[in-house]
Amino acid sequence: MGLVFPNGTLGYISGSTDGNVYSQMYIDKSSGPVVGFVASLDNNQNPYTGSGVIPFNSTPYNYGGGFNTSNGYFTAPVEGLYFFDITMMSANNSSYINTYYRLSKNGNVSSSTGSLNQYVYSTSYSATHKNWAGGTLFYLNVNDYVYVYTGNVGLYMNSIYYTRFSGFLVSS
Amino acid sequence: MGVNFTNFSLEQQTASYGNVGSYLQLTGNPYYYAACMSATTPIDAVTGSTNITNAGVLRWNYRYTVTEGTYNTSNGYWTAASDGFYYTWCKWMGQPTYDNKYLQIQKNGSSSWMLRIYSSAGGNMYHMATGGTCFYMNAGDYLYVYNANAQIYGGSDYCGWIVAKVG
Repeated sequence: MGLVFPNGTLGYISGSTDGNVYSQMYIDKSSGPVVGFVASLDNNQNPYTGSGVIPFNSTPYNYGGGFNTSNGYFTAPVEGLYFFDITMMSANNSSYINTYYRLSKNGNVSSSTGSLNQYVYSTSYSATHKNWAGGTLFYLNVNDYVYVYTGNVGLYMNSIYYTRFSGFLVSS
Repeated sequence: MGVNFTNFSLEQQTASYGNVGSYLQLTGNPYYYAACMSATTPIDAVTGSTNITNAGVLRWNYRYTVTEGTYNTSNGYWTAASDGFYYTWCKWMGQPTYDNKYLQIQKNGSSSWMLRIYSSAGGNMYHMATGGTCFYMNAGDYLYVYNANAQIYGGSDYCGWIVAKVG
């Protein structure tokens, strides 16, 4: 049984142990609103280079429809706490060392507003591929948005499985 | 009066002597799995040694807790019990001289559904690499971590949990 609530399903169980009868109602949050995505860049950009918002243009998963492949923005369809994860690999090009990317909420790019930005910096003494991963939590209201902003990066894109941008609703 | 059930469960208990009580209890998402393994003990897929140098599926066997799905320590496969959207994450530390190596998290053994976590130290040094992503899993689908000839040092971990059940 279960009534569907915005944040989950109201369940009910009952039983007995050692002669005691008990009953329990609970919220099963695993059946609440499903919001989550995985985004990547397609294979036609190797290496991907540039600055600004990374235009992730492919979404193997896009539950809730929040990710826009035309501009790389994720827009929250429901209010809540979200987790974001980026896993990338840099191009082995010395032009792209000592650089960064950041997760930005609502376009905020100020380095002094850490709650709205999450910087992930990488430095390498030579032109090598670098693993470049980071993640954070943002509380988002409906229509708040998050994207990955870069200073000047080169990303190895021989196959899409090197670079992923993922996110999901933790709690609404 | 309003009752916010988001973070709590309302429970009622009737004792054998007839008293009835109710209480609120903090609840978490009951569906997750975690298979966090450590240090020197993910074992070589080919030799069974803890000196991991051969390519193959890592058999993490040091410490693990599984409350969603099943984890097979003999082959390193975690199999989903529920249809849903899952997050998975791996961190590994490579030995010096083993540059340009990678681990990859794969779903159902497919190269179409995987995340490659690459590391190039570019020198004789330890190197750390991490990565995470989400997969949709049907019940019976499986995940594993494939090691492409990296030599893994202590502190390597692998874990995951269900984000939401998706019917």
